[in-house]
Order: sequence, then C-alpha cells, then structure tokens
Amino acid sequence: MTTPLDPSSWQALSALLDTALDLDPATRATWLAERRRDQPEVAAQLERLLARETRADAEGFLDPRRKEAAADLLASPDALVLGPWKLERPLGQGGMGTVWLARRRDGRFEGTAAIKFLNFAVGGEEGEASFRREGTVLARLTHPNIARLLDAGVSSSGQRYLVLEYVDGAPIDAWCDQHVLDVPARLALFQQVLAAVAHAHTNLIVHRDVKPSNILVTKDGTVKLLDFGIAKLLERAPEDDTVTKDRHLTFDSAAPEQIRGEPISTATDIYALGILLYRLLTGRHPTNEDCSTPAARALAIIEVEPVLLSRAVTLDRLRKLLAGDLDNIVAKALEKDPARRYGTAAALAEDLTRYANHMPVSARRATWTYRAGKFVRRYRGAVLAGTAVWLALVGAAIVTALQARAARIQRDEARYQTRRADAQVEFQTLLLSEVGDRPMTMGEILDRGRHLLLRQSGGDPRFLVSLLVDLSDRYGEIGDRRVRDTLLTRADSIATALGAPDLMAQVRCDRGDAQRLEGKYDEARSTLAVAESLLALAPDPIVKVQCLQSRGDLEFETGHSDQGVAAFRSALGIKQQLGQTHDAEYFGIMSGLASALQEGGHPREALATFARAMQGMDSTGRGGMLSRMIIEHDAALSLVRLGETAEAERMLHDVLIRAAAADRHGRIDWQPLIHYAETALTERHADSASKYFAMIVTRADAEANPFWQGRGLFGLARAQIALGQMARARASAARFARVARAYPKVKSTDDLVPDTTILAGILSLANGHAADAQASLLTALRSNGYYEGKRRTRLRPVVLLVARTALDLGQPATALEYARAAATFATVDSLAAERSGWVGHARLLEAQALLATGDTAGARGAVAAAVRALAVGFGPGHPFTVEAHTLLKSLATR
Amino acid sequence: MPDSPEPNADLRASGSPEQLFAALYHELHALAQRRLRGLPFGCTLSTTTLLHEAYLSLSNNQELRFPDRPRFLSYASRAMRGLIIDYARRRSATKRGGEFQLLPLSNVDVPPPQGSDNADLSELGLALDELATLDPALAELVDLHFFCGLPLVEIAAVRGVSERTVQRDWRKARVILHHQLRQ
Repeated sequence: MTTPLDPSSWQALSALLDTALDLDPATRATWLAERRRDQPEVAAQLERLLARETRADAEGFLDPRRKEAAADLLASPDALVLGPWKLERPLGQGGMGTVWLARRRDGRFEGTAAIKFLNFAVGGEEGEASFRREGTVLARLTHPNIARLLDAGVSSSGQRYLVLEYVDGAPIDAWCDQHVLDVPARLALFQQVLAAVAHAHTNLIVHRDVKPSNILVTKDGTVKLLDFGIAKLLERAPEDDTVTKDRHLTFDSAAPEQIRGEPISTATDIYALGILLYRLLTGRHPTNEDCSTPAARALAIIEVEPVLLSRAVTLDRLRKLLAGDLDNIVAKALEKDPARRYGTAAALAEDLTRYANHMPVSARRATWTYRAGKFVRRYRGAVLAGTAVWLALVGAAIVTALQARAARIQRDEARYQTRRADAQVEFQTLLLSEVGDRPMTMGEILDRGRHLLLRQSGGDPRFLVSLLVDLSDRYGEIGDRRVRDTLLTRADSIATALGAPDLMAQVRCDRGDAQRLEGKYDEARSTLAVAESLLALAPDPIVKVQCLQSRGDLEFETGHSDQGVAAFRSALGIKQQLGQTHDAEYFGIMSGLASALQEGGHPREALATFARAMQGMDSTGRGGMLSRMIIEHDAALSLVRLGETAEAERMLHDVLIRAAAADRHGRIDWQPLIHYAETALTERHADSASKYFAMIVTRADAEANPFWQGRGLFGLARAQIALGQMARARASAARFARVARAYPKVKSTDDLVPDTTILAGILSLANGHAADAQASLLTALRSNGYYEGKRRTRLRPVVLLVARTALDLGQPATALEYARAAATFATVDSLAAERSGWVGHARLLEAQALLATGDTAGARGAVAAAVRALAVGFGPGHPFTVEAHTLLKSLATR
Repeated sequence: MPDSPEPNADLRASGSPEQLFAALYHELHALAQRRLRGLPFGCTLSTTTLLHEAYLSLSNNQELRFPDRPRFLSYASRAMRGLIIDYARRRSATKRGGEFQLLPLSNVDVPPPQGSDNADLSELGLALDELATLDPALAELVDLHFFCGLPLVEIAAVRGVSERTVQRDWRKARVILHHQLRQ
C-alpha cells in the first residue's frame, strides 16, 4: 500500500479530481500546468493519481467487464478454471452432466473447447463409471466427423471432467431445413454421419444414441458426431454391458432391442441411422409419428412397421425420388430384427454410394498392395525378433541367425527382454538337439516345437506366451491356420489368466495380423484396436513395435498408406530408442515403410528407404536372409512402376535365384515369379518370360488355382506372340478366356490388366490386322475405366499399343494424342522423365506420329528424349531403344 | 465478521448499522445457499440477482424491512462484499485441505479476477474500508458496482444523480483504490 490519503485534504483533492476527470486530455494538461504554478505539491499528487487511470485500464483493474469475475463469484461459470481451461458459459445440460464452453487461458494457443462435467446430483457411481468410460472410448476415436476428446481430468476438488472439441453448429435436421437441402445434399451429409459411426464401429464402439441433437453441422458443412455418453465397449464384461439399462434412453431414436432390453450391437446404431435418414428425407419418424405417450412410442418401435419411405411424403416428385432403392435401403436399416439390418455403417454407406452413382453392384477388387503385402508379410514374419531360428531351419542362414541372436542378447537391453530372448534360445537349442541330423520338413519341425512348448509346464508362463505366438506365426506361414489359431488361443488363455495386458495385446496383434492376411480387414481392425487399448494399459516397447507393424500393414493394405507410413515410422522410432537398429525386425519395418511410401505416391522416398534397408542388412551380415530378398523384390516392383525395368529385371532375377535357394524344394513364391516374367516380357526377353509364365501355369494347373492360371496364361500368350509362336499363343489365349470367364478375379492385378480384349488386340496386331487390333484395344480401355481416369498405370502398355495401331492405320493425330497422354502419365509415375522406359516409348511413338505429319523438327526433339529415357529405363539393348536410335540417326542426316 | 443475530430482529427503525449489516449478511448467505442447492452444479447465480431477491424477500418480511431501496442498498452492498470475500477465503481454505462447507462452491476453483487472487480481494476489502472513512459514498459505489454487479446507470437512478456523475465517481474511486493497492 502506498502513501495513505490525508483525510483533512480529501475534500479538496476530491473536488480537483472531479474537475480533472471531466476535462479532455489537452485541456487537462493546460489546467494541470496552471495548478503546478499555484500548488505544485497538490498538482504532483493529482498527476500521479490521474496517471493511474491509464494503468488501471491496461490492467483491467476493477473493470466492469470483468466485474463478473469477482462479483459473480458466488457460482458463476466465468469464475471456473480447470487446468489450462477457463469456463465461459454453459452450453447445455446433457444426460450425464453440464456442458460448458471453455477457452484456453495459458495463451499457448487460441482454442475453445466444450467441457463436460459429471453432474453430482444425478451422477452417482453409475454416472461416474459411464463418464470414465466415455473418456476411454472417446480417446480412441480420431475422426474428422467425431468431436475429439482433447483432455480429461479431475479438478482440485475431485470433480471429473472431459475436454471435448467444441463444435459450433446446428443439429443436422435443423441445418438441412435452414439450408433447404435437396435429397442428394441430404444424403451427402448423411454419408458424413455414416463415416463417423463406421469409424466408431471399427473401433468396437457403439454410439447407442444417434439422434439429430447429437449430430451437429458446422458452418462449413462438416458433420460432427457428439456425445458418446452412453457408448460402450463391446468387449467389456457381458453382465453390465450387453443389456441396456439406460434410463436416459430417448424413445425417438431407440431401436426395438433397446426397448426390449436385448443385447446392443452395431446394428442398434444402424436402426437409429435409419430413423435419422428417414427423418431427413421425410421430416417424420418412421413409427412414432402418431404416438403421444412415451409408452405408446415404445410400443410402436417394437410393433409398428415403418411406413414405406416414399409413402411418407406427399410431394409426387419427392415420392418418385425416394421410391425404389432408397425405400429398400431405409427399410433394411429399420428391420426389427438386428440380424437383418446392415451389419455395419460402412455397408449402409456403400449401398447409398451405389444408389448415388446409379450402380446396382460394385465389385470389390483385390488391390496390388493386398497381395504384395501378403507376400511381403509372409516372409517378413519369418524374421521377426526372436524367431530367426525358424527361418534358419527353412533356409541356409542358420549361422547368421544364431549369431544375430547372440549378438542381440549381448546388447544392453532391458532385463525382461534379455530373459525373454534367453528363453527363446533355450527353447530353440532344445528343439535343435531334438532335430538332430535327420532332414525334416518344416511341418515336422513345427510339430516338434509345438509339442515341446505345450509339454513345458515349468518356466515363466510369460515367455511361453511369446513362444507360442512366434510358433503360431510359423504355422501361419506354412498355411496351417487351424494349428495357428489353436496356438494363439492357447497363448491368449495363458495371457488372460496371467492378467497381463501386454501379453494379451501381443496375442491380439498377432491375431489381427492373421486376420489381415486372410483379408478380414474389419475383424483385423477391431482386434488391433483392442490390442492397442490393452497396450495403453501396459506399454511394452517390444510388443508395441509388433502392433505398430501389424497396424502399418493393415492401413497400407486397406489403402491408407499415410497411416501406414505413420505406424511404421513410430515403430522405427521405438526401435531406435531401444537401440535396436541392426536387427532383422528393424529392417523389416523399414521395408514396410518403404512399401507404404511407394503406395502413397512417394516413390523417391520409397526407393531411398528400400536402399537404406538393403544396405543396412548387407552391412550387418544379413545379406543372405530372406527378408533382404523381399526388400529387393519390393524395390524392384517400385522400379517397374517407375519405368526402370532394365534395373528391375536384374534385381528380380537375383530375387528368383535367392528364393529358389532358400526353399528346400526350390519352390519360388508366385509373386517374384510373375513379376520377373512380366518384367522380362517388357524387356523383350520373351524366352525367359515364356519359361516362367509356363512354370506358373503348370503349377497353377496342378493346384487348380484359377487366379494364377489366368495370370500365367495371359502372360504366356503374350510371350508366345512375342516369340512368333502364333498357334500356341492362340491356344493360350483361348484357355485364358475360359479361365477369366469362370474366374473374373483374375483381372485384379497390379501388372497389365489381364483382359481377353487386350489379348485379342495384341493378337490382331501381330497378325497385321491393325484396325481390329485398335477396336479391341479401345474397347479394353473403355471397359477398364481408362477414360474415367482409372488404371492409368496398368493400362499404359495398351495406350501405347493404340498409338502404334493408329500409326499403322495412318492416323497420326490419334497416335499423337495417345502417345502424349501416355508420356504425361508415365512422367508422373517416374523418378524423372528421362529415366522412364514408358516415357521413352511414348516419346518414340510421338516422334513417329510427328514425322507422319511432316513435323521433322518436333520429331527430332521427341526422339532424342526417347533415346535417353529408353536407354536408362528399358536399357540400351532394348528393341525400342535401338529403334529410337536408328530414327534419331536418320533424322540427323535429313 | 460478527455473529449473525436472529434474522427476525426488528431493524426497521432502530437497528444499529452492525445489526443491519449482520442481518443482511445472513439473509444473503441463506439465499445464496438455497439458490445454489436447488440448481444443478454450475448454474449461474449472479450477485445482482441475489441482491434483488434479498430485497424482495426482505420487503415482504415485516420483521426486517428497510424504509427505502437506497438504504437497503447501502447496507446490502457492504454485506455482499463481506460475503464474497468470506466465500473466497473459505474456498481457498478448502483448497488447502479445509473441510467442505458449501458443496457446489467447493467444486469450483476460485477465479482470480485479472491480476488478482483471494489475498487481493481481502486487500481490496481493507482498501475499501479505508476509503469509506474518507468518502463513504465512493466506497459504497464500488461495493454496488464491483461486488454487487449493479450497473452504473441503475446506481445513478437509485441515488437520484446523473449517470455522468456516477461515472466520474467510479473513475475517481478506481484511481484512488489503484493508488492504495498498487505500487
């Protein structure tokens, strides 16, 4: 406190202050100057006091706008502060508590949030449990259409709260009406809701209260799903979770099973979504419209069949729009029997998309990444940490593997990890001693290992789980799913009995991986989500790395390359922290990262990563390992795609030799076989190509595998054409046509699309019927969606053949158009235009077309570029390179 | 704070300032408690509302009635200041491990008004007491405007002076208090 004011002079001072405060600044200065002459001391005090007004303003001292902060102290929200959050105003009263608008007060970043409190009055234990559950559930959900959980905490007085993404928006039904949206726009908005629910479903989370007030639409038209207050985890204990006892249930969005107190599932949300869609399209509730009492509404949900969507509207135009497919879609969502509804939100979304696109069916095609990933994974599994000995028994790298293990054990790892490794070595030694010198098949070795493991009653059960998981992987690799699943189940029951979340997570990550390999992506996703939440309870870096790999492979294979890249990067980060940057697992992750980068459209980074992985393996004595081969195979595939087939062919040949050497019977996997053969054909090594295509066909015949029969025959026919064996080629083509008809899946491939029309075109061209050839090839482009921008990479040989036929038919303009299109897309798909054989080939055809139009100068430029690109991409000895070279010379002399 | 006397003590004509103050304090406290208990956690209870309610409840109370609104306000504003400062103190005591006295309030972390905390509120109280010895009307203005949340225009109406005068007085009070409280 500063100098107290003198009571005796207060009256005078007060009067002077009144005067001064009433004056504007300029007048006040003059006035003060006068006072300074008369009463310097008083004037000095006045000036000091007046100067305080500016400071007081700046500090907000007793500011009326801040008066609530103090005056409304009694219970004002303005006064509430939670961690870095300052509460501003209540947003509403939810089922479980009050919701406030909050703002960050630490100034680190600008941000608003919605803070949800547990309501003391109606909370109690049940409410608190639900509150905590919501936190766990929401933390697992990250989706653009779901209000995110930012933070959760307990205030100094023990009050629990969740900090959620604040959504400034209107309920979806009001938003639709305000913006007078038409049916397609409403459906588009509804698709966002489905995306959010589908995401939650894949995370095993059922919302249970999907209704307009929980679905807000922001100003920019983004849907945000709120309030997972009664969501629950499907995998929770059955007694309190399979049956809803929800007192907050709202009849207007309830499903029949909720009314009947039957188990809740994802189908429950589907029903609510059906109601929502019905409301958005008709403005009515499908069953409750005429019911006044809650009891009548509840009964209607169970008893009353919904009025057909299109019958619920009066406008003829609208009725026509809703009739048919949309009627059926909504009816299926509103089935009383949950089992008859759509199984997931994704399935409903898919049907609506088909409706929007006027498509009755959309066939799913297996992606390149699926199969390539499958192949990669099959071998990568063989080199996971702690499992090298299995690989050693399969291949020739036994010494390398055991040395690697010994070296790793010597590393300064956490004690548990060392002990885990010890247990594995012990087991492996035991196994090897039992094997002796007698040659055994993989199956025999595994069976022996399995019996050893299951017999083992002593020892640490934790290690037993790890070993069982490893062993199950090996069974997966030799294709014995039954034993694999049995072992995993056994591992799971031991882990569960131990109550060890990390081990339970390990088992689940492995099972998720197995599901992924079988193409059960939804199941794999759910399993991994559970594993990840278990892992969050007991973080174990080694298991975490395994799970991240499974996650990475899953994301990558289901087309989310970016998430795949992120998962692999995290895994690498953990390995680096552990100092494990020289083991096979590290390089395995790196190759996964490279594949994901490649698929995500980062070919340069991908190749660099492949190269790092290969160098790393070579420099740590792993040059002979299978995984090294896989990486080389994948790197070669990248190169093929980038138009550098000359180098790719060499690498793939190397891979073939290694693969043959690695297998006791010299059996090579389909993937390197087909990729080598296709690349050899591109390289015009038709001899080799036909030999390997024939090998594929023979083996596929023996296994009665129509997919590989088709792939092999499609290649064989082309190789035979290239060799001039037209009669054989026709026979192969005819066989291919039969297989492809019976098994349309043959078409799903990353190489040139296997297509009878394409084959017919190539045959016609070889026989000199350019017009027929062109007609076939154009048909093939159209039917494969080329003109809609699809499969441009895989169809580029066909585009180039069209240009070729156009030249033969004297259509230089057409030839030029197709050649330039091919050059453009091939450039996009290259490391550099001057390195891609596809670009080179396209430029050669462009040159020939330009020449036909008389543009010699243009032709010269194009062919010069063609020579450079072809020499690198397809190689200097390739027929196209030679052709381009000849043309360049002839143009130079003109 | 003095102990509360019986609320039904007759204060109409002869209540001493202390008695009036205590009665009002008690009444406000009781009102605040009742209101807060009936509301879901976190609902706003503004001091202005509280003050109005106290006035309404007292004007219907034969035992405890003020002759006019200005006289009521001059006492109630001081009582409100005391109440707020006490609540703040109590809550900071709770935060330090003191027992829960007011459940809804105890869930609340006490807010610092800009650049201030509970200690500052107490100091403000002391500074206001000091100002009251110099210029009671000025101190009361701060109680009414800052602690009770009464708008200046309403205070002007109650006091029968121009809004401009009240505004000038408010500015004057601020510079004086700032002088007292800040270096």
